[in-house]
Amino acid sequence: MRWRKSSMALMAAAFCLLAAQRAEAGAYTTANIYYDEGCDCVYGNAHMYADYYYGDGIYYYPQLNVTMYGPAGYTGGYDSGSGETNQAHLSVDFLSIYNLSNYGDGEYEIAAESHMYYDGPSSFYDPLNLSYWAQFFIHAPNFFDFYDGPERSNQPVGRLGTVYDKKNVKFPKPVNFRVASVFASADGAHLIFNYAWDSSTGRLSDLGRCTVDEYVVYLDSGHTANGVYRPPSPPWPAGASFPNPFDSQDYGAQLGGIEDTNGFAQANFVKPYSVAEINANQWIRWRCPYIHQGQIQHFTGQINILSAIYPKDSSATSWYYTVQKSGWQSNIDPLP
Amino acid sequence: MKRNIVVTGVCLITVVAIFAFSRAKADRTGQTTKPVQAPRVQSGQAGGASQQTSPEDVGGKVAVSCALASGEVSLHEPVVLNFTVENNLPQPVKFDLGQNRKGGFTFTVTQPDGKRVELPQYSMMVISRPGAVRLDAAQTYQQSLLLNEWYGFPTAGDYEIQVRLSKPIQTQDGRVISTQTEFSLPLKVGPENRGRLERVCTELAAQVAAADSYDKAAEATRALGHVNDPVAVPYLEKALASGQLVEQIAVAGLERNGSNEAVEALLSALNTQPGEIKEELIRPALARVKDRIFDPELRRKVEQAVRGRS
Repeated sequence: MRWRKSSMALMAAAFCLLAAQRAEAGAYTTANIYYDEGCDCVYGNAHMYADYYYGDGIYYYPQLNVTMYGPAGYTGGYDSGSGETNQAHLSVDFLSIYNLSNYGDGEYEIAAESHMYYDGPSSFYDPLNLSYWAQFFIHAPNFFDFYDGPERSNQPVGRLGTVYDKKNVKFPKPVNFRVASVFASADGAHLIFNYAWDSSTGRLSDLGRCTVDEYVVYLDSGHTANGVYRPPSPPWPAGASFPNPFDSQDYGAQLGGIEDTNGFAQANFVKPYSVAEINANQWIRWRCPYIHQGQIQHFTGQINILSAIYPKDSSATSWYYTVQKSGWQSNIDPLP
Repeated sequence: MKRNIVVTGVCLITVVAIFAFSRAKADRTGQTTKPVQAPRVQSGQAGGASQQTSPEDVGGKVAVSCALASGEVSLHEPVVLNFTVENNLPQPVKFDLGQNRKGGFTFTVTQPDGKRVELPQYSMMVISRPGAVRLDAAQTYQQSLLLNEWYGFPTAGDYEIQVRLSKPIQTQDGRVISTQTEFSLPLKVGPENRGRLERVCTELAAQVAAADSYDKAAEATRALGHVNDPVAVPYLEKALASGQLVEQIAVAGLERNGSNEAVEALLSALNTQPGEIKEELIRPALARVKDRIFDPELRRKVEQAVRGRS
């Protein structure tokens, strides 16, 4: 009888010792959101750390589940990972990188949830609360192998929980597009607009990966063939031709402005003059590779550009050329 | 008599009032609103220049240089000119490089056969970079010009390239500064060297992929687009797919290249590029290049692609 009591006391002591060892030292989870201009990424980083020791030969499976949510319209991305270790200190880092191609300015949120497993996916342990949740198996190849069989709790009594981080992220893009000045060339052949814009960040140098261009469609389909518009001559300059539609090369948006020259490069109008008009529609546009997959965005709606030759009066003995856009005009008056 | 005068006067006033009302109404509806005459800029005024008789000698503190990136290239390689202005004055200077910072340069090429060709000055009715540049004290301005945009260097041999700046460097208050404005640069174009051309294209494609700004990616893509040889085609395809927003330059390069390989690349891009790139760039480029295709089967494919819409 005395021997039995001693044995049980010893076993109880061992159990207590093991239980005490199971108790933790500390555990925490962190989550953060970062914006990296170099990779055009908003990414989330989560870290899980647990500091405790349970004994030799015990294998632990910390698991970290990370979910990231973008601005309205983006439902989130998910990443998870786990490790296996029999070390005293457990940590799992996850760096989830999300391509920004579908994102825009807005709020990003990351949620990181951590669990600890023993020996199988259905077992959980919460070292903070010295409790366990659901079913787990522990195989401890030592004398105090109390946990060969299942141990279970009918309901969760606690876990490390979920940690959040939120950030508002803005991506550099051109804003505040405007007409800075308008002037005519000395000979009247060209109407020149200076357009300007700012950066949403306040620094034009942030716009180095964004571009600005123009798109023009000449409306005279009768003189367009194989993608080239050739206005009739006379009276238009002989050999004049324009790609139709015309998409200009892009310019780096860090310039903060562009010059738009309208008219004919060589104003060599051909006699006999006759009433003639060239109507074109123009759009000024911008793009950034990290805004909606580099899709074209519009600074302006449709802008009409009219180039025309008209008689000065009903006698049609004297003629003039005019180029008109956005309420401005430049003329060669009279034509030679 | 008095009554007639009064009646006539009232009628006249009424007529004038009706006329004035009609004009005002037309103006408000915009039906008869005339465009405003844009203020004219006198020649040279846009850069704020005020002409003076003798340039100011600043003891070499403003240095202008033009040098070829390489004085020796093989046939079909891009020829790049590096233009630099160094301002060592204690105050800013300004200069006008013309439309798109290209129109202010004039080039004359002496060909291997001795013939001198004056190249047309850059002038296009499109949006462009403003030509005016302000250079702060102790700063350097650098710009590369791809000479192939003006001249194709079609044969191997020794060339001489004369470069002239159309407008002088000036102080902020318009005084002309004495600097070198004309340069003479020898260029040796060697025979076709496929391996070397391949290496040049590989390097340019790598520059596109690694570019941390649009301008750097665009410069390299533009150079690829002026390699007048099918060897450039796969590298232009890479640039087109790079995500560096150089589609317009790459498609223009493939169109300029015009080889069967380039046309196949354009046809293939119809399956990979988004709608706006397809309809605004690729299909029109195929329409323009169609008449240069001799292969009847390829021509048929292009005609079909030009007719098709996504």
